[in-house]
Amino acid sequence: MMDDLETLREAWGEPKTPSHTARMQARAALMSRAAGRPPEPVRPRRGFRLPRVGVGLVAVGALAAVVAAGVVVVRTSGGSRDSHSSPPGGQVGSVALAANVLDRASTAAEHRHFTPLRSHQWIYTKMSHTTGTGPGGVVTGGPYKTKVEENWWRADGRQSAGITNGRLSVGPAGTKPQRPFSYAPLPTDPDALLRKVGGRAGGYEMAYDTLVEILAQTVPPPREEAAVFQAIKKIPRVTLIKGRVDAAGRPAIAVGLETGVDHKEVLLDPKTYAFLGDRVITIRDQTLESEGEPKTFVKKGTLQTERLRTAVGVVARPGQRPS
Amino acid sequence: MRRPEPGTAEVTGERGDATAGTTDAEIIRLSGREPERFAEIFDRYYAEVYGYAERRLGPSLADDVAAETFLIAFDRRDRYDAAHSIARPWLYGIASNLISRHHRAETRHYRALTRVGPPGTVDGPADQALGRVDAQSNRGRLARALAAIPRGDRDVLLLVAWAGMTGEEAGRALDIPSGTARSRLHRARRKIRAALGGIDPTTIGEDA
Repeated sequence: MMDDLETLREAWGEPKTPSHTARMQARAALMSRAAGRPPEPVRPRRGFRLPRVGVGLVAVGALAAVVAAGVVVVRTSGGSRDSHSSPPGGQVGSVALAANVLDRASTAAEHRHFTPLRSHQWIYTKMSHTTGTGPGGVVTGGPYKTKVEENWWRADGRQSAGITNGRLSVGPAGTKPQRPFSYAPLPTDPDALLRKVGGRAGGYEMAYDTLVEILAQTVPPPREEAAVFQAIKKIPRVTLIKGRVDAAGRPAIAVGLETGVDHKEVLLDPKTYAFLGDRVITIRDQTLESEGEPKTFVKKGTLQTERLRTAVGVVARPGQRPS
Repeated sequence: MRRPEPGTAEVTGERGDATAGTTDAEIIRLSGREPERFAEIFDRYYAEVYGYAERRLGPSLADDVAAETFLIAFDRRDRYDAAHSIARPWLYGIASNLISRHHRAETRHYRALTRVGPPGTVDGPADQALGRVDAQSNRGRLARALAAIPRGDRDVLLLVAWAGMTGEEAGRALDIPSGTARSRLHRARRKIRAALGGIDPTTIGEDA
């Protein structure tokens, strides 16, 4: 029996993981403070806000140069995400159509060429993240901004690396694998996998998010990846978007979870069913009302967030890119 | 001062006795003379402090709050109560205070999550007939309730619900008496239960 606290916990799903850049900046700021600046009295600052680069500015010596870089920010204006792309929202199709696509994705995954990873190898990904430029929360339309990030995860999930200020920075090795690597090895039975990621009444959205993270970040063996698609199929209210959607110029199949007014979609290559990215689209017009604030209207079809994986591969060392 | 290069001989010796079995309190004590030891506290807790702040404020403020939490903790390390071997509540207390400086942003964040509006505005009658208001849409109702709960009560509630603390740990984190923490938690939970409709939430949305 789930109590109110558990409901509160499960309704939010998995906690988000910090970006590699943010982690390295925060660690560099701490290390420079530790490196000799006398402990400063803590000034209570009202409405404080660390400027984005401010963390880097307090750093000294070799660590001083830690500011966000390797990050390309593109601002687009106007209502659409990109002048050459069509509006993102498609027509939501049925659960049966989604099941069909997920079956084919599962079969394709099972027959994918695969070389087992060794724990000292690294998984490279390049992702472009698109979000609204507002203060956070709901996106009512453009402009959007896009950040491109390259990351390396050691295959066992115990260490990560990224590009900071044009230079490779490798994080400390942990004792335990981080999510979503911590779920490995994945059960090849879809029911068992769904249980392992917390899929049950009240926990399906969290389970869905976890399965998508597994597809996005890890390189599971064929039978395990096949089970991921089968497990997604077992989650209630997973539906297909009719037709093809645009994933940065590439056609993609969008299949995903309906959560209230949003559709959380996985984007798959129509031929190979490889993971191309994921995004959240508002699929019903909605009006947000709260006391003391003007009404906010969010039009059906509005893109909330999008993450496209433009490259992925296995390399020997962090800093290497797949050829 | 340079950060030690991992893997060099002199560092290996240092690390051999460190990381694994050392308590947070011991690391914090050692960091009084060897300030860089404090990085171990960062490595242990940064990701979860970020995750907690992200849920309350969204990603961009969470970056700042998580970074600032460890700078403040570092500055206050000489005042750490060594009787507590685990530093987690202390760090969450610092993070909670930072988050409370952003209470307007926090409220906005929850309101934005009020994605399932009042009946009729978002979930049409057809949706309700289909039983679409299920456990996942609890988030909308809960977000609205969180936005309305007084800050002090919300701090305790979320340390318990999201950071997995006991009422007593939450009290220690926030530096309030445990009785006060318990009564705040009680008040906040009443509102959460009311938001969930006073129904056993496990039955919401189940096909039955």
